[in-house]
Amino acid sequence: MKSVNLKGFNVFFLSGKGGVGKSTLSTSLALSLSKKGFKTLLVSLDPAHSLSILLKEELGGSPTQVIQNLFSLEVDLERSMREYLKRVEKEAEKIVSPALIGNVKNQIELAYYSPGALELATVDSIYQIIRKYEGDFEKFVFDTAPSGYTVRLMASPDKLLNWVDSLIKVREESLKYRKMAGEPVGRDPVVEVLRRRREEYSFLGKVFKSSKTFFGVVVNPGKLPLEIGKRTVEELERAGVRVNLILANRFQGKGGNLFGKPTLYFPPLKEEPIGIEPLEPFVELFLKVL
Amino acid sequence: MKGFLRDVKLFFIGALGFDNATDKLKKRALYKDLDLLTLILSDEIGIPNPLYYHTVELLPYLSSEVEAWRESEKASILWRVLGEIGEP
Repeated sequence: MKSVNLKGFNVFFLSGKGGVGKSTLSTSLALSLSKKGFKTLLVSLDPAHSLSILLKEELGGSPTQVIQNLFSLEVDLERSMREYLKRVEKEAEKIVSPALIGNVKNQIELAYYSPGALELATVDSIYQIIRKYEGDFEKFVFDTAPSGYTVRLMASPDKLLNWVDSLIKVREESLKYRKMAGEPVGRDPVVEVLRRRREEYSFLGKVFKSSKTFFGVVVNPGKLPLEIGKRTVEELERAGVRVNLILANRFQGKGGNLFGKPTLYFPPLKEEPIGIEPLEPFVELFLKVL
Repeated sequence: MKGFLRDVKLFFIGALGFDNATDKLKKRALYKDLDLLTLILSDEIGIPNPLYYHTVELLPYLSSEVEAWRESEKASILWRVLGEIGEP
């Protein structure tokens, strides 16, 4: 049976459909990492805020200590999206004439509902959190992985970076002509924004492709849930990342490897996991592969 | 008389190369910015922009050109395509 050692990973993503037990398992994983002495940050990107309920702790946007070596934070993605777009609007208000501002604001607000917006907000958060806390924590556990589509976008950064580079080139040409025409050209916000995004894409590409990044897929028993799990694995692997482990949750007894991947089996819990004590059996299971 | 004066003016602008070069440069700069807008607002000509949520951050700095883009670029791209294929 293929096995896996979790010790070598620094960043963990758990993937799987809603309700399969991602929050329960990420919390157990984070607990076991902290028990092994690793300073761990458990991050919830789940819009359902299940982590606050699970940990019986009011989590916010900055790390709250849960037990020794374990801190947790919960990201309100919708709020981050609103705040980001508000900032873009404020920027527009500084520049755009009053006659045009209404139109431009509408155009900016459209971004909230645009396809992919929530996904991009998710990777923005992942980027910001790892960047901000990489010096403070040894292990990061995310209870949600971005979708295969977004992972594909970020895990093949060459294409994306070339695209951003072309945008920067186009803008720089525009600035060059402006300068030649005698217009004053200082530091340009367009180039600055694009450079910042370039840095983000390049960082995320490295994180997603790194051999120290762990992708786990949580599945439940039953023909349909397993089929969905299999598809998630295929989607992620087609996107160019490696799925390291299948977490078979709520299985009575143990089976072999699922989908040709190392598989850990987790039995159904006797009580609903509220608080960290009921997770003890899961923590023990994780400690065996740590 | 008015027409005559305009012709004289045009003659001098043409003969002396007045602001011609500057105008050309400004126009080139504008075209480059319109290219950027085509990428940001591609959805309006039927090409989805999966990164709209990110690229919208550039919009404030290019917003003075948005109207020009809608009238020239967007119109001409759509006109070209529809002219070739026809409306559905």
